[in-house]
Amino acid sequence: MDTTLRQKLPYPHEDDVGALALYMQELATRADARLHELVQDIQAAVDVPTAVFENLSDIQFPYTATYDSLPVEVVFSNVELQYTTFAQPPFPGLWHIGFWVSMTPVGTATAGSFRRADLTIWGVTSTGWIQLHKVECVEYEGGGTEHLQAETAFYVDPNDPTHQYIYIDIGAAHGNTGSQIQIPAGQARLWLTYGGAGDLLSRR
Amino acid sequence: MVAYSQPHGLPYQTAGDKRRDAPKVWRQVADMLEARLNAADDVRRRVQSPPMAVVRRTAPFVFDPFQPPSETIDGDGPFPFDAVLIDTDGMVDLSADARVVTPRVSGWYMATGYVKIASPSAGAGDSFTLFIRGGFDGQYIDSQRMSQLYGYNNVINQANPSARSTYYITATSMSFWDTSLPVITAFQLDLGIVNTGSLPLTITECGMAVCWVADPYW
Repeated sequence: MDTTLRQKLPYPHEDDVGALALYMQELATRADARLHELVQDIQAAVDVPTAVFENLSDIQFPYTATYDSLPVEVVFSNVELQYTTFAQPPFPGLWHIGFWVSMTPVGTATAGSFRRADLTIWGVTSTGWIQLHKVECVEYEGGGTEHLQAETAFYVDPNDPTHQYIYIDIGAAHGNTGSQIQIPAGQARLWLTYGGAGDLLSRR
Repeated sequence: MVAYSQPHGLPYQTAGDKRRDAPKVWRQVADMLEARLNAADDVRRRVQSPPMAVVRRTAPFVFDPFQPPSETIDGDGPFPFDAVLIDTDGMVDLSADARVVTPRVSGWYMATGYVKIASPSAGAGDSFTLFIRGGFDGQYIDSQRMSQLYGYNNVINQANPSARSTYYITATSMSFWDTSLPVITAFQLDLGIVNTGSLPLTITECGMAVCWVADPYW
């Protein structure tokens, strides 16, 4: 019996017809294993690892306060997460990460006052947390609800010690002195979706 | 008489075929399965790790689009990068040109960029627009317009009147790339400014990610 070069599929020699049934079993077993592996991997790649987090309750705060970390919980994930109350990329690779936050004055809207929301990716060192990456969106009062959003791409490097433990925050602040600002339940959303491993050379 | 499966044409023996011919037919089956599994492996590699590159610059530099380039930093943009975080398809060569990411495979690419700006002196009223330039938009691919630089991705971030130590601006869009067209510009990151009173700016960090997501035609 011999095998093909890469997939190691067995085939008998021309003068070797005595154990065809055994060889056929070998071929079927090998082909089945390879097909199963391929289908699993391709299904995993097509169903892109994604997690979505939202605030489950209304959030309300005055202009004197700044939220560095809005309370959000996972509302969808097709990958296993270590925690459900804050966002983490579950494994290394390139991640597309973004947020959307809707902010509404509960009373008087202060003309021209700012609204700001940001997304911060934190890593850890021996001395504490460090800011690895940050994006933000700033808008100004336009007579009602303001919608803020931004997105970015971040590569979680398996060889970077500061990337061994990462979490992601969305924060909010405003300058609406006339009244507090409310972020209704479900209107602070953080999402992350997988872009690829990044460690394989891809040529077609 | 050997028959063939459909649609892949794998050979198999039928009643009356000689047992001694089985190895020859079997070898054909194994070789054909090998070729198809190899092709499937290529597809798997493609979806698991598509062409993508992430570049970054962490060394601060002064940016002023109205001044001539300095010796080391072209103040007029696009921004030069100093590190390649990932590059799965040979899209970046910092020694040849530190400002560009050049895809080698045609398709639609998700491009995102960001920039961190140290607090500009002018403060309120500043307006910055981050551009990711490069590629070609599908609707502009024709001989008359091929020579034009087409820039898009536009995010404006007005300065917060309250004190800020850093401004964070990001831009994202889907961009088209066709390797059969002459390269006018590869993917680049650049900044537009409305209030020149805030110049020059100190850029403390910038970065760009370019990731293949789809074949160019359907």
